[in-house]
Amino acid sequence: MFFKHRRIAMKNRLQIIILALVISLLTFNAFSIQRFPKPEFDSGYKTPAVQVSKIQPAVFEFLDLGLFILIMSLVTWMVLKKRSRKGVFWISVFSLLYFGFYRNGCICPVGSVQNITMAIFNPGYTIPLTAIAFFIIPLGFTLFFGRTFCAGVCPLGAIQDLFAFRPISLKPWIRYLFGLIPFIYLGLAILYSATATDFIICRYDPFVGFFRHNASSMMFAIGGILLVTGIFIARPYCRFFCPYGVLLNLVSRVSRRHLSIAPSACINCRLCENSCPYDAIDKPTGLEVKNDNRELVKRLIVYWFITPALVVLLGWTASKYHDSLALVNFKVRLAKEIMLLEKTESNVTPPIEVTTFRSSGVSNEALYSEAAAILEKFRIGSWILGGFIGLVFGMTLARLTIYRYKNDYTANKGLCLSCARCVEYCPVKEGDTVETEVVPVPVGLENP
Amino acid sequence: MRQKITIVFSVLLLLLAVFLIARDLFQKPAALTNASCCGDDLVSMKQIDVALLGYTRTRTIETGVKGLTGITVDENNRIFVCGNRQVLIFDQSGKKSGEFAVDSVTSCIATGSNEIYLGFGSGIACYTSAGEKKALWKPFNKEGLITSIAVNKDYIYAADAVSKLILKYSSDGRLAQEIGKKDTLTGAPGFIIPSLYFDISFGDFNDLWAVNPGRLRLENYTIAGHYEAGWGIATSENSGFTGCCNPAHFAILPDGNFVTYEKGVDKIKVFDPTGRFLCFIAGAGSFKGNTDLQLNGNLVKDLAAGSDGFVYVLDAYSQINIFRKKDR
Repeated sequence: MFFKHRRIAMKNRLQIIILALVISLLTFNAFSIQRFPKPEFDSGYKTPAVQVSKIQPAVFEFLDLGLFILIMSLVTWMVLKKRSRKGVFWISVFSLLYFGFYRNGCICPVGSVQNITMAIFNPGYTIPLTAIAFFIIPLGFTLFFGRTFCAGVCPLGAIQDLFAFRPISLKPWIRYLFGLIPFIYLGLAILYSATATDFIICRYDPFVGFFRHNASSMMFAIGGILLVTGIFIARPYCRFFCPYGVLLNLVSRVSRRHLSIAPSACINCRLCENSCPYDAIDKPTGLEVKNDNRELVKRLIVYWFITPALVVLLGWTASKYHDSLALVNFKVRLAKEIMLLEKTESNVTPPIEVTTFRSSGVSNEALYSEAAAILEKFRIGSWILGGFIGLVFGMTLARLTIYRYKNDYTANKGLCLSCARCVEYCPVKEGDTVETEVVPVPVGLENP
Repeated sequence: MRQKITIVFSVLLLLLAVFLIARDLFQKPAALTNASCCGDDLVSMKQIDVALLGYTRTRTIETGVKGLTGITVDENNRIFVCGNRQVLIFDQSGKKSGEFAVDSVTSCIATGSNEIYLGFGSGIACYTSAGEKKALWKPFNKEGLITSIAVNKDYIYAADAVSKLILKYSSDGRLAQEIGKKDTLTGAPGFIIPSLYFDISFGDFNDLWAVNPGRLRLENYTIAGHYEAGWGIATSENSGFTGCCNPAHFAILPDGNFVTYEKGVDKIKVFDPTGRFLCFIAGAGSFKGNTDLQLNGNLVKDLAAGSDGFVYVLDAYSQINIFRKKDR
């Protein structure tokens, strides 16, 4: 017992040291942005000529891709074969340092969703092969092995994982409610990239500013908020924001070889019950609930009818706000500004983009017609976006009524990030056989 | 209880993050909020007190050529402007009296007794007033940039903003002297030029004046290159110059007063020879109203003073504006 406590204390100390190192990397140079032109002192120092950085050869992209596949394979092996939390942790530290700080968070499957969408909807856009690879490879791994990408490869996840000091369990309704945000975020990201408006996932990446030592104060603030929140709500960005996580969640549900808490039959010892900081362990269900399913079926039928109504209602509602959604598009915003200025020219100073546009020689009418075409795309897109959100609402409600009987403690395939924390708590060894009959534990029974 | 508070606190933080992102994504366009692009601070700094305007615009000459960079006025008050690989000559009435094409992009212009000197990047070209190329002088520094030329009867002085020196040439293009190196013995402070603005001009006593923009001062040198004196203070008030490096351009009036242009705040001021502020000539809003305030770049490209006491301002709209002193 004494040695176990000592081991845990040492582990915590190690985690704090790594965290301190990461924080020093985060804060290094963060405040050194020059507000004024650099002063010239008469010290005899000669300012060197402006250096133009060379374009990195394409071979480096493939090297990165190779390394990415290697790390994905390694972390998958650590999770499924070695069942080593320590191994996963050190790989995630490496990923944070390499893919995060060294490669500036640029190898990013999370943002590649937008590249793929843009390529589908804009024939003029050429998507790099590596972007396609970075989009597909994690999905492929997830399809077979669960979300091992989230476990140890994603630098955004790795940085949050270091801050998960005192994770607490959230009430299911909070999880369901906040769990809708990634779907909305994904829908918006697809809408804006399909209309060639903006890559909002990249724009609002909360940690890339830390990696590059360069972000707006607002993004530094959001990154800081998520890291502070992450002390109590583990990996808040992964769970309640990440749009790519939506896809991984859906794919992971049908994964063939997902991480299992017990390597063989679960003995219901309940040691792993509170081990997951992401609330991704499904507990065994009570027998009485299994038998009382008539009410649930009734509710499922109701939701079955409500869902199409929600799709239409939210689709219609979103379409009513399509012009507000379209204001994110630069050309639409410019057209609106010029229209407004034409009405109030005498007392409003035109913004610089209006002055620049006017000096380009393009007529207002040409801009208006272009903006009208974009608005039409947004009208259709917002119908689809609203419908998608309605569908997600409906499916979430319907999912609440679906009851699956569970005899063991199992990792929820969709939510589990394959971090392998729970396996450390499991006393069952590979090949162990259970001699006693397994007794289901009633729902809601807490640990003594 | 403690756990509940932690959850509420964390959830509120998450909601704050969502709110910040949503607000940034869907915030209203600038025009709807009536905000200017450059920030209200800069716009307010550009404002001038119209009661202090001591000059009035008498004429505006539309050159019809974009990309003009330099202006000078000869002893007969003919106006020469350069830029966009050409030189245009106007008389006082605004009528174009001549023009000719040149080989390269020009940065500045000066006139001698019968010659026109043009800054050709790092080199200097000499043309006759008829537009015939006489010579192209070897650059002092191949990476240099000649930003101003001043001519007296013996020598041609060129300001090289990259080398941070005034180069003194004989009329046949031989480099005679480098002026402006820091010298603790003579007290020469050395030129500090953070951006490529470095103007020079001759005073009434055949003395050479140069801007030391990093020090926000005008400095006086003898024609032999000895540092004499200087004036100018760093301030956002009228009494001095503001920003990292100003004034960007200046000219000396026949009465010995100085006309200066400050980039950034776009103010054209008049100082007496001791550096006392006298009046404004123009500011942002004096040329094309609100458009001046929102101009992306400097409002004034160059300025010159004529022997008639008029001030000639080449603005960003390729216009030559002629100002004369208001009658008292």
